[in-house]
Amino acid sequence: MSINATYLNSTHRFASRRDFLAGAGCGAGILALQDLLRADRATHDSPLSPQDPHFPAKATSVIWLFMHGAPSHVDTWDYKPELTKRDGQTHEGFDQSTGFFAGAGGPIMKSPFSFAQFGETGTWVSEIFPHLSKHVDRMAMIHSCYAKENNHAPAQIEMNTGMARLGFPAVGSWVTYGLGTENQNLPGFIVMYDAKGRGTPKSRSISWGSGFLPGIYQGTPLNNSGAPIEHLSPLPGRTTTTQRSQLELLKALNTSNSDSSPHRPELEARIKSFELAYRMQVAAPEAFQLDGETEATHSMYGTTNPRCAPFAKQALVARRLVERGVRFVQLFSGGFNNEDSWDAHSNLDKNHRQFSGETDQPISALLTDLDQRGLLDSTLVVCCGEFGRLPLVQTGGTGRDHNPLAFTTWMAGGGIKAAARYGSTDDLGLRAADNPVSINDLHATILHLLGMNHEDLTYRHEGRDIRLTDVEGVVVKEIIE
Amino acid sequence: MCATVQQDHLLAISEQDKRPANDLFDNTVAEILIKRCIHCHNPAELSGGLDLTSAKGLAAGGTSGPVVNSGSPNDSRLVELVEHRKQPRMPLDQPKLPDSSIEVLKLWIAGGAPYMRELTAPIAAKEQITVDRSFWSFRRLQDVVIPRTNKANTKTPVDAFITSSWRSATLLPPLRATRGALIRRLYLDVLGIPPEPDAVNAFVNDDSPVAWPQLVDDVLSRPDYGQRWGRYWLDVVRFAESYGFEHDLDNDNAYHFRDFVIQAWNADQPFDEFIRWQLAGDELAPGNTRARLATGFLAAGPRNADIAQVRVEQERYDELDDFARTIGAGFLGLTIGCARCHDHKFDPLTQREYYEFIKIFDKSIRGEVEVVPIHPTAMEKTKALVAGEGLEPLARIYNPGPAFYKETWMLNRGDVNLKEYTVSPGVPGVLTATDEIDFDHWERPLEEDTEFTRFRSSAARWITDVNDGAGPLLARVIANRVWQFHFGRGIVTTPNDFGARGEQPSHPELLEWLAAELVQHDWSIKYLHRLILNSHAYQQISLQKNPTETQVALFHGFPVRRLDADAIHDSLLAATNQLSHEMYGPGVISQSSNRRAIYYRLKRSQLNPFLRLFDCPDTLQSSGKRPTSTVPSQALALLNSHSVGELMADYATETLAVNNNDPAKIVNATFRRFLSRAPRPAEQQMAEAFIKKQVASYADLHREDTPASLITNGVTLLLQASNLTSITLAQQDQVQGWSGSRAIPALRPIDPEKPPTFEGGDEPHVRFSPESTPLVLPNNRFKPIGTGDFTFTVRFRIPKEAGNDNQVLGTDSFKGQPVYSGFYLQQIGTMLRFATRNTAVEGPQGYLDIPDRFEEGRWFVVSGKREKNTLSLTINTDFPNSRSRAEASPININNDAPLKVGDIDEDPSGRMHGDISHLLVYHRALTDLEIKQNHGALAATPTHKLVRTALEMAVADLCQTLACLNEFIYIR
Repeated sequence: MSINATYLNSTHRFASRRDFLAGAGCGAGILALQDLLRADRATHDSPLSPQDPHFPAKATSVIWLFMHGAPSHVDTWDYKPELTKRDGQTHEGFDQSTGFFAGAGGPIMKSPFSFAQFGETGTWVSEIFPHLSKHVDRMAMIHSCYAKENNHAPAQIEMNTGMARLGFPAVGSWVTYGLGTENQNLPGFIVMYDAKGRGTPKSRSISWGSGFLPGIYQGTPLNNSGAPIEHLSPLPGRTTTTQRSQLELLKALNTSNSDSSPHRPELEARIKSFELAYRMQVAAPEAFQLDGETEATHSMYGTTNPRCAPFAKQALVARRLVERGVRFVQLFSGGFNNEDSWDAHSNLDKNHRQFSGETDQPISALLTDLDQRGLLDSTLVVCCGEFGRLPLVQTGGTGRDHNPLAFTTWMAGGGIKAAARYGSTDDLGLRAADNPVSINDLHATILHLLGMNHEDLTYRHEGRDIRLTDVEGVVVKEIIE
Repeated sequence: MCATVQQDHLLAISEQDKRPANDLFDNTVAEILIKRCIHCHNPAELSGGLDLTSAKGLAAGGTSGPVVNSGSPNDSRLVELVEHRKQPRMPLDQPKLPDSSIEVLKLWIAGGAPYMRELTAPIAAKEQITVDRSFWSFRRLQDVVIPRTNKANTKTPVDAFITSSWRSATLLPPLRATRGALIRRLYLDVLGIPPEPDAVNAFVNDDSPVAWPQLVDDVLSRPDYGQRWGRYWLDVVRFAESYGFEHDLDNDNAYHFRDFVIQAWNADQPFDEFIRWQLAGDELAPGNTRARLATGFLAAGPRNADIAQVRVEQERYDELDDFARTIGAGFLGLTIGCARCHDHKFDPLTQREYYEFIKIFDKSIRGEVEVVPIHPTAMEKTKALVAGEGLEPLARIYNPGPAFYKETWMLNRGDVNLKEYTVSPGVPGVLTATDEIDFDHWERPLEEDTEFTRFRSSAARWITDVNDGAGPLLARVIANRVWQFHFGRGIVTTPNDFGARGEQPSHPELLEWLAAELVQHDWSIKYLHRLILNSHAYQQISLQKNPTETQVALFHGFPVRRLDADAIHDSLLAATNQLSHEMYGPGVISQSSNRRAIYYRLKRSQLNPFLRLFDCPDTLQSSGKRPTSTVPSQALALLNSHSVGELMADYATETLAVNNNDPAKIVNATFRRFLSRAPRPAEQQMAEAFIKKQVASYADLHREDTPASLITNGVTLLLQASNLTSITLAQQDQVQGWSGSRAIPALRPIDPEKPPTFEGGDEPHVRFSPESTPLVLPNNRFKPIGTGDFTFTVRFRIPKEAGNDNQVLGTDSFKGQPVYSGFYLQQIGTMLRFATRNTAVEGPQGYLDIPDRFEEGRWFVVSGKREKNTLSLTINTDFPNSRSRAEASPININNDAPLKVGDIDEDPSGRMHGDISHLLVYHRALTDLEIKQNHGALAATPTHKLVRTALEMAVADLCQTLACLNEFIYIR
């Protein structure tokens, strides 16, 4: 499809890029800036066309593994021998309003799991990660993350949008807004939530919503069964032949008469979008087919292991998606209800064994697989929950209540300094002590790894150039290669 | 909150470490303190109890102790905070200090932190309030002189303003658009749907000079108008019918506000009263239902229903913030929410004024009242969501807490833990005529003597008061919105921000004049429409060439713009002659409906995917204009979505009948319906050739098609109502004609005197009613399912008048048993549940729920199966691809109890009230493909019109192609 010649000259291109987002008020934002900077880019077919980052970067895509419900850091990645020593003791001075259930903070509780050291780094890892513990030397860990919110939905919204309020874009929306996406036949921001039918995250679609950014930047959640994406196959009785004739007629009528088809870049783009759509019908379903993967790959991910098969399939799809140039993929482990997620209020031992069992092998396989295919260098893998858990027992059971004051996030791959360890919690793991890292800092770091300066990725909304990191955010340089 | 990025260039670090600490203070430390610290840490503000303006203050430290540990910079709290090693990070809400500055501070502390002289805080560059009141948007309405022009096409004052701006840019006035183009433009713009071909014909052939103004009057009087323009207003006031966050609880009674809005726009309610009612209709017009419903505005925002104890008060401030923010941006184009944590960075709004403003609402909460709805045929009272004082608060799932607090505090940084002082109600000073006017200027006694504060009614008077209050800004903001929705671009292009950071108006005098005209004509929005629609500017052609920036900014040539999501939806329905004209009432839950899009129920977590795809807003904040994005997934939705496909097919059937299967006539009629014009000869030819080609393709395909049939392999129970003649008991208690084959047993009514009824006709089915008894299949006639695999497929329908809970089928183990162990299929509202339960076993039960799919009044095909202890449920509605599947892992259930249809227990409360046309049970797990085949076979019944002729399909394809045309989807 040829594009109107006038539309390709540089001054019009400026206008056209804006016109794709007509009315979006982004004239002063990054899109315009990048248009000026990149006079050599051939076409701007769509607001999702690939964009250059602010500066060169290793990571070009992200796989974000969201452990929904909030894993306990002190029972997973943040080893605290002090808990064993002081097991059963009262923690004097504990602020009972820290967790969700005010007054339910009982005595200090040791981890039900044993810990051992792994890798050349000698990193302590809980026994519930027999597979992932082999990867500690390639992970960077931030032990001093903290959140502002102490309940799931607001904290998930904070983790995913930087603000605990509604109406702000998700990280994946910001990233696709800033960088576009390489594969125009697939959505740029894809979300997979619990495949076992246990429901969405508590924050629901807000965690992948585009807020005030145009709707095209919102995450596309895959259907857990049936066609993964809506509208990918022709209507009953229709074939590619009958559809091809429709598109030919469409094109002919769209261009037949200048009176009814004024020359506008956005109209040209719309004509082209039908061609793209036609191609997507063929190309997109292939990305979700796992039949072509080898037996070895299937068994490495555990797609036939009933314990972890649902998440394993999603992890494998995630690899296939980044392989095909999808910019941002987010997976959620765990479903809506407390006991269907990592939210171990009553029985941490049982809960965390179940959810580590569902995810440990698949995530480990994902790291190995990305590495073997040479994709790990360009893929940033992020793994976190929405907050941590208290080092105390929650009264009435053997679980732990929410703890926004500290949790661990690990990252690996694209641009990450392997084996980096940053920040720490106090002896009990109650509070981020050294070098606390806020969610804004995490976001700033992720954008940096993708080659974007978090202070320059802005969108004009209600008179302000708004950022993912609001007015804060410090890049954690220590974990960057 | 505000993104001011300042770069510090305080230092050129050179040899600084050699300087004595004294010099360091004089040369650099003082500057750092002045620029970055003492704005808050001074004797007046004393943030954190710390004064950094003097040696004494530094030595005294703050509320958390000393800030410098002389000689040990790394242990000094000041350094910890500026290095962001501890909280709160300093400078607060500002970029981190440059490393060089931090280094200097550390050197200075290492050198003993000498404090050489007292510093004074820089005088904040506070502009005088009188200056602010003169800002173009804040000032009183100005008298405007209409420019003098003698051009023939300067028909109206609007044109005088517009053409004089062209003159200075040396642009010549474009021609008037053709009548055909004009009527289409007017309909799409004002009504959101294309005109009927007859209306086009009548207007195109009307030479009268008053034909246009008459047409304008006509469209403005149609009920579609309020449904189109009311939708714009719902965007502005972030209306939705659920509360967002984790539970996203529905509010079934929120729709009354939507109805109020539609009714108000249609009735041309004076805009000032429309606004006053939304703020305080209960106080201003007690006893008036519409005024009461208007306060649903305040109640329509998000609300978190599951919060920790410590968050309850903060949540209330968030709720008040939503009120203030929406009123600010939506009514006044003022980003008032920016002053929550600090004084507004750009506009003359102080933080204190923000808290005084939210104080107005601090006793107003959401609640429900009983009203007679606006719906003209409604007689009975129903509950409606409103806001006001003295209401029963809405429930919260966790930590209800108080619904409101008696006092509103000025909060440092917006933090409820940092309360400073209580405030009295007030409004931003810049939006009052003089400093002398206080908030009580707008206070009036209420008609009814109550204990209520009357703050909201005072604010309502203030906001619409053109002489002393915010009326001029209110008028400018709405005049700009009206202009924007007509032209796709505002005179001010930032409709929700008329402050210093917003864009300046392109035609300030025109906006001023429109605002003044509006006020002078009793705030009649329809008057404003007429001023605009009767202008030449509105009637000019749209330009062929891509316009320049200047042309765009000066409205030279009618702007070409895409229809918004709602108008695309509604136009598809209107063009295919399927649009329902039903107005008002509870929202439609289904994701495709023949009613206008404004009637979809707005659930914040499940907005209509088709509308979202075409950029409808997320309903979380006020939205002043929708972006227009163009992506392939929109094309896919138009080409492949079943709801669009069904519309086209229905239209094809209709038009074939009307036009006697004549392709030439059909092409002509279809162009007229979809594009409001006849096809040009070349188009006629192309379209006819297209129909021919498609017919050939489909004829080939049809020959290859074999009709899908039901899977009979392994079926143990088969009910096909089409094989029935009646439900009468013949020999051996068997229902006559029940089964499909001799080997398969029949169900029998529990009470032979009260069997379900058989209904024939086009859709033969068995009707279960409250008067009938369920059917049961005793185990002596039916091999129990036991612990093995099984599958059922059922095609059923629940009528609209049925209850919300219908047990369709399952195993009845209740009888005489203390526990329930078995499976069942149940409909609960819009949810379908396939459960395998064993109440004797602890732990999770096998619930498999598919929410939000089921709809009353329509046939559904549902299959459930258990395969190796995994459940799956497939829903296949009459749109075959709206197929939903969920899976769950149940515990081991023994289905030894008798199979029952229409109920699963003795309790009549959950008894099914509905129709079953087909029921199949298998003692094995069907494959997905087999289930698909069953669903295909059951969907292909006469009512679903899936069996179409090649010509029907070809014509449907033509219609669909026209609907995909730019010409269809763009206003020009």
